[in-house]
Amino acid sequence: MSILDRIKEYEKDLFICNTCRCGFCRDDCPWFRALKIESASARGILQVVQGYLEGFVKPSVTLQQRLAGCYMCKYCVERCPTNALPEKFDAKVRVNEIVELIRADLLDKGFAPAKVSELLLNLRRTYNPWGLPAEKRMAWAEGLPVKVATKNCSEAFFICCAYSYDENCKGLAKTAVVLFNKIHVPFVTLGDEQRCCGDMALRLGERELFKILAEHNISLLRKNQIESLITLSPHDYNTIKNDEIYRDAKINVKHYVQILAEKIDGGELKFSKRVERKVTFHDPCFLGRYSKIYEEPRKILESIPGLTFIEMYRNKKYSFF
Amino acid sequence: MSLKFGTISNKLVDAIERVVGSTNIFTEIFDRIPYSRDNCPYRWSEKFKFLPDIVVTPETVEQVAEVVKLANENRIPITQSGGRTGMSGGCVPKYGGILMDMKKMDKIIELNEEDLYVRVQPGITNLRLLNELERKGYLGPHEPGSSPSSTIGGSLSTSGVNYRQGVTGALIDEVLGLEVVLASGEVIRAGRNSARTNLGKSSVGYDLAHLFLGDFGSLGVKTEAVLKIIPLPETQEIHVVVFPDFESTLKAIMAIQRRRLPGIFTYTAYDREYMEKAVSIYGGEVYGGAVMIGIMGDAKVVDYTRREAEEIWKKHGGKDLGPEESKAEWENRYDVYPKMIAGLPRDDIKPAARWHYEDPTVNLSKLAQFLRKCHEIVKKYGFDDWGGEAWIYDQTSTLAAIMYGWNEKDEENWEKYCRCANEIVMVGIELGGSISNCLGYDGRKVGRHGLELLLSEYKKHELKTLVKIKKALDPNCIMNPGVMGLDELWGEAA
Repeated sequence: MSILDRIKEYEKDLFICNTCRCGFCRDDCPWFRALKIESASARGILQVVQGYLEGFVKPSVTLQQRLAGCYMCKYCVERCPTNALPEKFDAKVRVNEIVELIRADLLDKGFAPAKVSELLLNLRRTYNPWGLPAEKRMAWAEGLPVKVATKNCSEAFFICCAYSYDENCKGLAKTAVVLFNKIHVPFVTLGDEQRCCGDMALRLGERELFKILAEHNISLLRKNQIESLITLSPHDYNTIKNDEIYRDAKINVKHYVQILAEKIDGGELKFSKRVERKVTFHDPCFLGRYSKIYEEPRKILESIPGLTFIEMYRNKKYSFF
Repeated sequence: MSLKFGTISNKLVDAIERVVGSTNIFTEIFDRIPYSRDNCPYRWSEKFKFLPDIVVTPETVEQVAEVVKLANENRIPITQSGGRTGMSGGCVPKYGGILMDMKKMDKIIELNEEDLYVRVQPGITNLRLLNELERKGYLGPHEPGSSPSSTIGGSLSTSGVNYRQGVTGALIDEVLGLEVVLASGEVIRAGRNSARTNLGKSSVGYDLAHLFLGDFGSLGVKTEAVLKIIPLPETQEIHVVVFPDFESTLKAIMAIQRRRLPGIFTYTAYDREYMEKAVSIYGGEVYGGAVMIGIMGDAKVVDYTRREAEEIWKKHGGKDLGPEESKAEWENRYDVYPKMIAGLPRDDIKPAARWHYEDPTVNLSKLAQFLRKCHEIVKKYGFDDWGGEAWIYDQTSTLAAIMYGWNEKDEENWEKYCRCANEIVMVGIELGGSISNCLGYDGRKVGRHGLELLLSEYKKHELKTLVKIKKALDPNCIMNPGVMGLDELWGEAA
């Protein structure tokens, strides 16, 4: 099925938004807050998409550039007043899916801004968005008790490119190693054979590249007879759980907060040290809105003695990017 | 002298870019398309007809003034845009030109807690302002159904209607003053009979603030507004009271109103047809009429008002549905929009339906008669009757709304809709009402209403008076030409 054929499946979504035009999604949209122009919001872009499908808006690099600004955070989808309707009306406006398809169509036609091209090229060459050496994927774990999966493991950690390469995120992966070893969950990874889950390729509309990455990762799991994955990143979790190819491979995937919450429930994880601090929690878009995991992180925080947990004004499904 | 506009040259685009910077000017087709419509119905085939030539998003009053000056020198029309939730085409650039989106000017400049006012820029959404003020312990001046998206600037320019009007007053009553950029590029302070914008009463000059309210941006660009606020009341109660028929609903409302009980901030009334439609979507029981009554203030006052009002509504056969129903009704107050698409379940909508409402102001005594006639008209045209709703604040300013749905993609329906809308509005006028309570009269822009309809409310020389005022402030007619039929009469008024 061609991309434009797939977009036709969203005719009702487009029509609802194009005739309603309430714009309730706009004011808290991170894309809009950055640019403050109508085309950088769900209501605006869906009018543009309508024009695109009717041939009134021609494909261009600048259009792709504008679309690239969407964070795919799905705030608009949750904020849409159609959510107030009973299920039978089936009136959800799936903005993120439409944006993804238009990006794909533009990419197919050869329109990509330089930054997007560079990122996609990096993913093709070195399997991470920054073009850093593939063989260095596990460099972050040097000196840590981290094993690489063999045929004897049924479960492994799937480590996101950011946690593997980005200096700001490596700390989280390192902490996870300490934490999971402490609660007797062996920290087994897929090693440097693992590639990017493909989330970014898919969101940017590079469906072929996503397929290549996903199929590689799935075959790696099959090779080692791994049935279950634990992800640290909400993006990995969502992609492996909900996106095509991975979804069809029926991999049992959990986000690490789910494991921790289970251990707390089972009495296997208890925080002994008091932490006298006020904290809050920002629901990640792909853990919350995409995957509907809201309670587990709160359970973890509330089980830490001394900690005062305060909800932010905008939280859970309305969490701000 | 007929209207004549210039065209936007590359030189002018460059000059504007020098004023606002490259990140505040947009010329691509995809950036202009979302400005071709607002929330008003459009002929589907004309959805991209009213395109601006460029979009400008100024960040300061100086930038606004410079852009307006350049536009005036080159005779380029300027249409201002806020949240684009208007239902009459007010922010649609009928003559193309410059679309000035004010949403980058969205700051709260001053919160004066001593003298109880707030100074804001026009681009802030009503909901954001309400929330920011609530956090500081104040009740904001304006809460329309479109709050999550509509802006203060848009509400001022359309003379919007407010959920809590009974306590805070209508928005236009809450304005202490404005800062306005005139077509010449001059920046003026428009107070209430004063050049001060922080005073509610004075006697030195015209009441310029009110001149610019409800002007649909035709007299200038509002760049700042000073609005009254009140400390958050101690408590708030909502009561949804149902009646056997709509007539007794209205009788009860009128009887309660005559008592002038303190703290009642809203009476939103619904007729049987409205409830039948709501029940077909959400389930529940159909009643002959209902009213949502909101009371706020000190607990003792609220208690007193509720007891007195309850006695009256019971006398008229009213039954309070209880706190749960009432809370749900109040919490869904912004969600009138999805009702439009909920015309029918998915299988029956090929594709979904468009919904719209007419909103004449009528005297309260004429409301029941108005809605009865409207239902007949909607039925005659074969549209989906969504029922009648009324926002009642006092006997003289009832917003009477009749809602109905149809398929916007069907061109034949467009013609039918225009005739239906005109007939409904005429009912309001014949009952001594005005064309619109808060949506405004700009349908001319999108081919919905003719000047004839406006002339059924105004006499021609009265309309010409509006044109004369505009000519004095905007001799080249660049500020949102096309609203209120001003363009039609431009050549006739001396």
